[in-house]
Amino acid sequence: MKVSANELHSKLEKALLGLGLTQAAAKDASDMVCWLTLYGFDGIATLKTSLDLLEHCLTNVSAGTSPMSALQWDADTRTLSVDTQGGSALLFGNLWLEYSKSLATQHDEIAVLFENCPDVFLLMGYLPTLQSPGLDIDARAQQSATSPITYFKFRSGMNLPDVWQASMDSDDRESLTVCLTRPPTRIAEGSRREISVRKKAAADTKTDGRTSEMGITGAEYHQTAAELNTVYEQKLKTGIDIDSDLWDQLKHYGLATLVEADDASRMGAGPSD
Amino acid sequence: MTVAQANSSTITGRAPSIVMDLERLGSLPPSRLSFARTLLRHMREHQWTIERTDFALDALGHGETIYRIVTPSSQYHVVIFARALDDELRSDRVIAEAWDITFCLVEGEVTDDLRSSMALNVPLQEAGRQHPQLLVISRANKSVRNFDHFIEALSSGQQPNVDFLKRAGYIYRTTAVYGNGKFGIADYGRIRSNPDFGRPFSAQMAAVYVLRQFSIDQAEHIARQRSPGTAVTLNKSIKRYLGIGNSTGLGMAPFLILHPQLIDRWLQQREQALAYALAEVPSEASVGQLIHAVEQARRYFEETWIEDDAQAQRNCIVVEELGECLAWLKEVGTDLTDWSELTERMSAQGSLETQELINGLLIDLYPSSTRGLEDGMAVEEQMILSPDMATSELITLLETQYDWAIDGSYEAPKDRFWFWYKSAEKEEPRLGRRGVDSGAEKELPLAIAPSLKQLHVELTVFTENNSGASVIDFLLAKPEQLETVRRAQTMASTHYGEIRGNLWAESMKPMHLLRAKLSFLGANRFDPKGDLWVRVTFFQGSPLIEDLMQDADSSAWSDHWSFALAPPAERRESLS
Repeated sequence: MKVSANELHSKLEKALLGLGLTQAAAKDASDMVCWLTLYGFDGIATLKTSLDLLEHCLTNVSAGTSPMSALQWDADTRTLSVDTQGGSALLFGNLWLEYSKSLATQHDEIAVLFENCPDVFLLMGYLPTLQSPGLDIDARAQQSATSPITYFKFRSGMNLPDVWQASMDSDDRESLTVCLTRPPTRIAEGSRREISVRKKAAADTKTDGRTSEMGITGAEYHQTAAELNTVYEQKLKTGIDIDSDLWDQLKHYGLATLVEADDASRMGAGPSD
Repeated sequence: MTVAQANSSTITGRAPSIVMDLERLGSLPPSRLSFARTLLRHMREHQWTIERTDFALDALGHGETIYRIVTPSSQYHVVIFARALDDELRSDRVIAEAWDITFCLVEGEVTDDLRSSMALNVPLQEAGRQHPQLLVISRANKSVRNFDHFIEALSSGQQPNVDFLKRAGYIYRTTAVYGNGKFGIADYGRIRSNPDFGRPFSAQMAAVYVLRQFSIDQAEHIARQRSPGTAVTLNKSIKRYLGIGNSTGLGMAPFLILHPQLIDRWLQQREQALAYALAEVPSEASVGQLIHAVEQARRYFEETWIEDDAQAQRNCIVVEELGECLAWLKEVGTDLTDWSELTERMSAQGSLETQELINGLLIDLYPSSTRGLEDGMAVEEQMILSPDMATSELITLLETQYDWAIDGSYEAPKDRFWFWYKSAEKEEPRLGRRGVDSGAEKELPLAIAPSLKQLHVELTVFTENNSGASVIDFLLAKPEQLETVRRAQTMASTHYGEIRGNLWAESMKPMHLLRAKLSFLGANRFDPKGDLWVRVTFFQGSPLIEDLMQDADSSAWSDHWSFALAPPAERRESLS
């Protein structure tokens, strides 16, 4: 079925509230899914994973899991590790990335490594919110083990990233890695550490202080901001495809936010005409 | 224009403590910046044409009708489905499931496939799956009394008694006008850059404006079918006096709370326009124009019949105060050297409704001063978190910018009386009494003032225990405060976004929220039905479609139609 972006956002936000997310987490998660979907990334596929995770960790949500428990900061390598231990990124992903931004302000350049987080790809959709003047953002993630690896490159002041996609020959799924850097006008070029996007075979990246080899094979696919805008316009024109079972699932979760009606409650909207 | 750009400009408007008072917001009349009025000016300036291209109605007026709108850059269609409706099913509530009329505004051509899809889905409204080519969907019910009178009069060769339109200025009233992606229609993002409908709610207003023409065409058609030999058409003056009604309930209220940056912009533009007007030096001509406008507004309130006793009483006070204002204006005449003499006098002596009415009329005196403002009513909304801000700085910000909220009391039963929630019935927003009605645990977070106070309390405790901490440190400890924190940080740089009131308070009147938004849409003739819903009229007195297309020097076009007066009796016009 086809839905509008606003409909998807609204339905998803209610579903996530129904699943126990905070107001801001539900809103931001809906923003992420909609942003990814409108710009041509399959946020909805990952959303299904998120819903399964959230449904099975309801007790954790209501018990007030601390966002701090997943974080480990290594000041020497300026690396923030986020280990959700199999939990959903939607619970606190917005806060973890905001925390990363704060660290980047203090340390000029940091890397963030997400581990054990099945739906972490959705956090790529929060990067436009994180983007701000004076901050470069490089990120890479793989939606699933069989998906191409996706790179976002936001430069200071850009509303949309340059995007690269390339296939991987590794069986290991690439989680999310984000590098936040203050631009060279503000820090010495020599001290910069950037995740470089290689056009061909291999890329060396310094992320958590180690050097990892990452084989990238196959044709690369590059999208400019202008091309992303074309995708966005087209999505708005045609609507967003979503399977009706998932839509019903969202409706079902959203019911938890609604109050059953009776004659007395109907008066809460005024007397009948 | 971004919020930051807008806020970097000098604001010469009144203090937010005055402008954002809930009761004052609930006293706003439509103004020159209201979307119904800006739409008609835009239509005329850009020479839109609107023509009826399909009119397949039976003798009872049931069937399909299509109007084509052609603009310099595009074309659209308004497609209207009129169906028989049992009287007992006719309801203005959002929980209704059938209506006399359903209609939509379509971008581009209406193909056969699209038409078939619309015929199946538009009449279902919320229960349908609407096509993304649709920009607006809506529905309307008859004012049975007015409708029957119009048909009876026209078919018997008479003009309707305009007194009926003084009681309700329409024969159809809409009960919801949906845009922005609702039920599958096009997202607002699709038309945000559209030169025709980029202004907020302009697509909705256009659909309603065309419906008004349909109400005329359908009434004349039914009369003609009923009595081909004797039926007459409506006199043009009565056509102009015929508006489109609207019935609005609590569903509109959350909008003002959930879009504070947009509300800030609307009020900022209105305050800017008022400031421009007040900066002008009164002249003999402008004083004369104002006297004429005040006289017309007074007559409008005198002849408008309102069912709600409290609003009728407020209207009586407006009439009385406008009379005093007129006497004063005539007395001072050309001795008036500064409009602020008038506004200060009204602030001291007049009701809020009269004050804001006079402000609106002053804005109308200087049309050129709003030219740049009416194109700036849209804004890209985004709440931005500043994670590095020290918690001590945020505390200071709360104490200086939100003192009206954190100084409030929210503990006594009367101060936390209401809670807002959504019903499982069509997700209709409703008010419940805390401790009495069920559902408080599912409360919608619309009461911003108590939220800000709670944030202040928690932030203060946290800072005492974590000296030198930043906002992100606080949020990692209190993630549930993120929404309030970033709203407080973002809105601190605006003037008019936050409504200064406690939406929990027993004394809070949701009607004020409804009227604030309706006035910006361009509604008039506010007739509350209790505190929770209201009937209003759009486009009463406005130029007709045919008037829009008149020559520039035609007297048929007028931009000053907000306070429409009933036309005098005119001679009959035969259909033949």
